[in-house]
Amino acid sequence: MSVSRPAARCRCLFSMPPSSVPKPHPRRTFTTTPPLNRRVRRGYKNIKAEDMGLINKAAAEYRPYSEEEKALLSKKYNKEQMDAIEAAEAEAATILGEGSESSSSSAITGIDPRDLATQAGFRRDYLRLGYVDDLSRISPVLDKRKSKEVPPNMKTNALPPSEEKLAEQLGEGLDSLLDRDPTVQAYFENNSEGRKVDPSTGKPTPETQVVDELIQSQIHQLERNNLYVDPEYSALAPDIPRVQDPRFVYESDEAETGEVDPDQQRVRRAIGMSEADASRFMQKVLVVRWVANQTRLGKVRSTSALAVAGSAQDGLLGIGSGKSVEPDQAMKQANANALRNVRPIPKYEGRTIYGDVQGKVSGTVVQLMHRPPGFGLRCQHLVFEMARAVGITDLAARVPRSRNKMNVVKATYQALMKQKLPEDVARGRGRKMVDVRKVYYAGRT
Amino acid sequence: MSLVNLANVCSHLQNASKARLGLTSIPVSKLHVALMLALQREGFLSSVTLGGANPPANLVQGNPSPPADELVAAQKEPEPSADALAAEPWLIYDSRDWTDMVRWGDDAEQVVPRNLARRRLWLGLKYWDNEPVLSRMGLISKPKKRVILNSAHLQKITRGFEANFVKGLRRPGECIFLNTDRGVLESRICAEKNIGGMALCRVL
Repeated sequence: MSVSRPAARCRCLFSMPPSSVPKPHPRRTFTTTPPLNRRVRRGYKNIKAEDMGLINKAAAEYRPYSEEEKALLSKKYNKEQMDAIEAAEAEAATILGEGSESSSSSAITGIDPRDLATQAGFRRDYLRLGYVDDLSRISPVLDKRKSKEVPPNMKTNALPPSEEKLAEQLGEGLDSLLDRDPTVQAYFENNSEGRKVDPSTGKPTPETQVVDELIQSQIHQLERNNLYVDPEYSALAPDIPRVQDPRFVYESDEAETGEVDPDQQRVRRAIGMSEADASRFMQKVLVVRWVANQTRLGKVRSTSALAVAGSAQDGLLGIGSGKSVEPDQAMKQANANALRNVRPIPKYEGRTIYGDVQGKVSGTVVQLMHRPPGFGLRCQHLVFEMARAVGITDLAARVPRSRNKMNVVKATYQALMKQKLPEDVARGRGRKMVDVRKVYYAGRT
Repeated sequence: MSLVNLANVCSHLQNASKARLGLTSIPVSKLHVALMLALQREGFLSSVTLGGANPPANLVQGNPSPPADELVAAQKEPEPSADALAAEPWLIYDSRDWTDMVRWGDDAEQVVPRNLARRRLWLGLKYWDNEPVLSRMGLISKPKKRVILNSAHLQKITRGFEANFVKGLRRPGECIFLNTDRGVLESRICAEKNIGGMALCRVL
């Protein structure tokens, strides 16, 4: 049998003439879901909440101010602000009344109301604030300190002391001089009748000159001191008026506490936090890692730290990380960043959290559970430290998955920030809600 | 009572909330209607309306669908003439495919398909503070395992403890809806009235 025989049979069996229409490959379908192109499409487009005006309420309606409203507004705003409001009103009237063509020719002074309607509203972008704020007030913690207004020349603002005041102080000064200086004492004991003058020349004697100089210097000293120290006349007086505002940092306060870490002081000033405010914060480095960058030249070692800063009194908590070649520098950086990042954390009755919350960072999941009064902090050390810093006293936590320290801290922070307040829930549903201790959204049902 | 369909409804409402839809629809069944009305009573939904494949006209701004008169009239076939009836007497029977619209309820503008299977329940979703009011919804009873909770169970659950393998209500505003002999009710109302029932779903 020839070797070509099987090949011939093969050709006979398999080399069929190809059909004109290529058959689709019979594929077994593993799913009952029809392919995308065969699915029944809905006959209408999605009705978005945004289009219905449910999300962006700012786009609802615009109507001009009435005269009464303008009168009320003028009580609150100054003339320039009222002019701006008027300009905006005029602009709106032109656009709404005459159309866009005529308005483009006239000078535009206000904001186009269509821009306002399309662009104003809640931000949904990545950099939006995580809390509701109309930014009308400066928060001492969240915002940078506004620079203090300083008069152009402080010395000119300081009034000279009155003559009586000066004489009184001079008398006191001379008394103290008498107590202090033996030469002056001796001089006044010897010349009880008055100032001694050389009778031949009519000039003061040398010993009188010495005492005169001493007295003159005393007067100079008094004048200089009066300018700055006397609280009645000094422009630099720190105590009067004493403003109770954490944005103002008094140097005298810092001097009292003794040695101050200049780095910490700088950080505090940058955030606009006074020494007293900062002292309420508990700061702690929770995670320190020694890391190395492997290069051609070898390992370049450095340190990375994660710290928390929290104030139980204010219910604030922040986490911050720092990296440096020097370990203590990294920790300092971490502490500073933590202080910088503090955010308010809601606390139920000031002791536990609102509802059970969960935070997830990478493979780490942290579940926080609220607990009754007196339960204590029964949670692992990292969560414990954060709860203690923010002043939560009753809490249970579970970290069921990865326990990477850094991620545990981050996930706990995320969970604490995720709390949903009953007041918000009640307002969202438009229903009064009652729990054992409190009524939420009580005005409406 | 199909819990499979209810599971689909739960997932659909979650998805619609995530997509920030203002209006969405679900298939109609007695259970769905009762549950949706209970959700509306608790403030999770703004409106529950019966309609067809397209959203009811009164719910949509701009009113894209034609007025009710046109919708009802357009579907109406002319009456067969006497001659035609004599030749083909079966024309007396309604030969329509039941897709036509009929008026519904007291509202003159509300029309629904005559075919029951083509009716949909249209739900208005709510949003507050840029967050959906209804964010999570899931079954407790499963098609293969119905969970019955009595009043003792419910009293524990509403206080935040676990009972009958159902987790307690431990988040602000969390609700469990039950199918009872007095209709679909919220768990706290059941606990107050001392009645039990089949747990349907947990809503947050």
